[in-house]
Amino acid sequence: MSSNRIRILLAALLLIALATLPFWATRYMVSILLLICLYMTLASMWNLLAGYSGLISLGQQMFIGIGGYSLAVLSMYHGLPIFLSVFLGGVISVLLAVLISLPIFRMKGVYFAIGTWIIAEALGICFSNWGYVRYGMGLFIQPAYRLSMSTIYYAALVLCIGSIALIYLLLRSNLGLALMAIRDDDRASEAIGVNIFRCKFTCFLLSAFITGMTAGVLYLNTIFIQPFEAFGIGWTVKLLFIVIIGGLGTVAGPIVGAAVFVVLQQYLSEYVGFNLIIFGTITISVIFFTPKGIVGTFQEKLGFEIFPIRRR
Amino acid sequence: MAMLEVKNLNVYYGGFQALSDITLSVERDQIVSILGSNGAGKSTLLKTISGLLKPSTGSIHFNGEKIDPLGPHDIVKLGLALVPEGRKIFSTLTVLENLLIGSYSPGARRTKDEQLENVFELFPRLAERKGQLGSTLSGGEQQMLAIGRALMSQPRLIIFDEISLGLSPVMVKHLYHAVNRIKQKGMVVVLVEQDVKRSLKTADFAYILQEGKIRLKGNPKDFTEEEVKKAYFGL
Amino acid sequence: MLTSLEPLINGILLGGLYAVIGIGLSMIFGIMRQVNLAHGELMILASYFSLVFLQLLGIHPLVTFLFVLPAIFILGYLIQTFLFNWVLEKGMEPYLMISFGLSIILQNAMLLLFTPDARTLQTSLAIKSINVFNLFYVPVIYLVDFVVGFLVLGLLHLIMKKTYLGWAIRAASDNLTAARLMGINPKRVYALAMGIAVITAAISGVLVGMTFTFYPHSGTQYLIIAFGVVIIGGLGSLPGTFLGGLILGVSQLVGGRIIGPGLQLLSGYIILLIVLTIRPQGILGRK
Repeated sequence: MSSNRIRILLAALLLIALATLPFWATRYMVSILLLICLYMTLASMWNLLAGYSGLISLGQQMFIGIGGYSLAVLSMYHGLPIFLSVFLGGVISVLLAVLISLPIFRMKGVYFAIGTWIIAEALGICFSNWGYVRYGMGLFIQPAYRLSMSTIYYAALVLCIGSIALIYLLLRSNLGLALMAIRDDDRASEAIGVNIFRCKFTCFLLSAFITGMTAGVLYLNTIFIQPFEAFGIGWTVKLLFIVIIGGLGTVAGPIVGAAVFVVLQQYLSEYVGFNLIIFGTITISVIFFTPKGIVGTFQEKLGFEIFPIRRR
Repeated sequence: MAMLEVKNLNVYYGGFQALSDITLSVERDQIVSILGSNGAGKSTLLKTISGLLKPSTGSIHFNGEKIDPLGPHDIVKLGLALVPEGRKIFSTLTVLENLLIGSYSPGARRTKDEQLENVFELFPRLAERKGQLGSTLSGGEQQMLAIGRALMSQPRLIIFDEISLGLSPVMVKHLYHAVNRIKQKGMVVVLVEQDVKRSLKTADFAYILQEGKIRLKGNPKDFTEEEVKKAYFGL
Repeated sequence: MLTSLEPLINGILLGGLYAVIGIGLSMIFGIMRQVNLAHGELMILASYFSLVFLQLLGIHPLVTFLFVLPAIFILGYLIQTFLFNWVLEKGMEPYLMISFGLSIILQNAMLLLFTPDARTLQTSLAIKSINVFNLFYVPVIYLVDFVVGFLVLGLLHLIMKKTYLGWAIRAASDNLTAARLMGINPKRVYALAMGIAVITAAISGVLVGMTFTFYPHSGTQYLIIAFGVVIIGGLGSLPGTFLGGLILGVSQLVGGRIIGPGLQLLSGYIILLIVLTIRPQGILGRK
């Protein structure tokens, strides 16, 4: 059997296992896989920016906050169906991304990182001073009580598999080729006619859309949303950790990273206070000793890619 | 014992061999010239001697001390100064600050006022411009500043890389005059040049490099024109 | 009418403090072209150091500088030597991420050691204020902030212009190869520069502790203020940093007066985003 067939077979088995999970696994396991799916999606979207487009965003939480609050406001105040609200959260995130793209894309490198962070902080302040969303006290997303854990799980699974497939296809498309060219040498690629702005802008909007929707599903699970938590830098800390240990700029990196992160977080939850110190230390050590992360290092050693995106 | 001894030096850039089996020595009270066309390996040789590059094999001794494992900052302290190609003066520092930073090593700091006086005596132009930013100087003045800055470290051996590049003949003459005075003060001078005629006239001993190898060496007075051409151009 | 001068004057005074918050970040960027995201945490760490000495010895917060500054200098020196120096040549991302990791570690270590409670470095200065022509009040502590801030910037200027260390720092950021040929060991100079940068951070940390309350996670907020100062003034420019501090201080207090105190921070951020959009290199910064 060729290695390609083994790959397809394994993928099919994994898909079946994941799709039937709520029927045979414990509630705890479903909740863990739900988290892994959500973090995997969020991290893949951060990776699309940082790992492929050279845009280090420290403000991904702006879309998490907007997605979460869209869900809360639309489903509670306006009585829209829950999953429509989740979808609209993604749409509103894209609108925000379009709105800020004009200033944000004038900023390069470090300035882009800082600029996105400041926008997220500013949004956090706005929401905590906004009576409509009950200031800093936060909102309980009551309609979410009606959903079962497995419904939320399936929503997360769809988002997760959808976004990974999307990234995989995207990177194998012409846009992906252009991104590779930009990453290798942006001046040369501009000279051969790659529109750098349009490539990066597309990735930015896509990342906003999916992050916004994922945030909606995330808050269906959390139920409670508060501005300083939703718009807090803590989200980016987690995404950065996941992508760095998994492998920056690899499709499988965020997948492996998210699994490691969620499992580690479960184990470390006993040591309140120490867990982020440990995460920070691991991140620094990985940058020092295996800067390509788990997936990048394996690919290099074994010459095998789980998701080969370079066309042969 | 020679002041500077380079033995069987091999330097690679990736897979490309930039210097092969270079052996040369610089005696006290000498002006030594190292000549070669563009890409002959002169710059690589200087970078290796000054510690910016590490050799693959071979050794470099300065004043009896093995210097090839040292970093550039340690080599300067021992009394080996380089006036780099293209001057490389600090454009955001004033002329005076440029000179003072030359006396950065602890040994040189103690005598900095005396050194400063010597430099200003050698190049009065620098004294006139000492408050100006380095970037406002002309090419020739920048070269003077680069030389003065190297002298501030109280070197025993001073290497000039392409001292005349891009300068007017009058300025070149002026700078070579300064080189001779530096030698008279007891410093050993190494000239690395593309300007064959002038540097052969000035030197007591010369090496001609081509494609990373030494093709000709000896007292320039004994060289025939044929020999020089062949060694320099490979004709 | 004249009472509207109050936020303006206090904004300027506060701006002196903001300038010190930003100067260390600006210095490191000017020298190494890198951004230290742990700047705010190092600042707040100094506030806690000061608190510890204040409680142990019962001395004035300004006197705790005697202990805090050497300790934080050594910490900065070690961080640069053992962490940052190793990734300097690998571009922007590793430095950014390592400093980010460090900030997370420091923040949570402070949370463990000092609990999440609000703290302040209490002095009699904090409650005094000066009545200006019966029109408005200027808190004495703001005046102290401004004076200390001005002194720090002045002293830094002297170090940069008159000492071998200052020349070496400027030479290394101007032309690294030439600096090495002058006998400068860049990694050592970077470590010393980081030491000085965190000293400025520590001074601002103690001033912040005397002026406001602080928590283990306050660093983030001050890091953004530092960014603000530096972005408005231009990264790596000393007079620009001072101007940046004043503009941010005034815009916060005046903005807070107009749109409400809850949004005081917001008005600063908005000014910042406008500057970032129009002139990404800052007002006085070079390209």
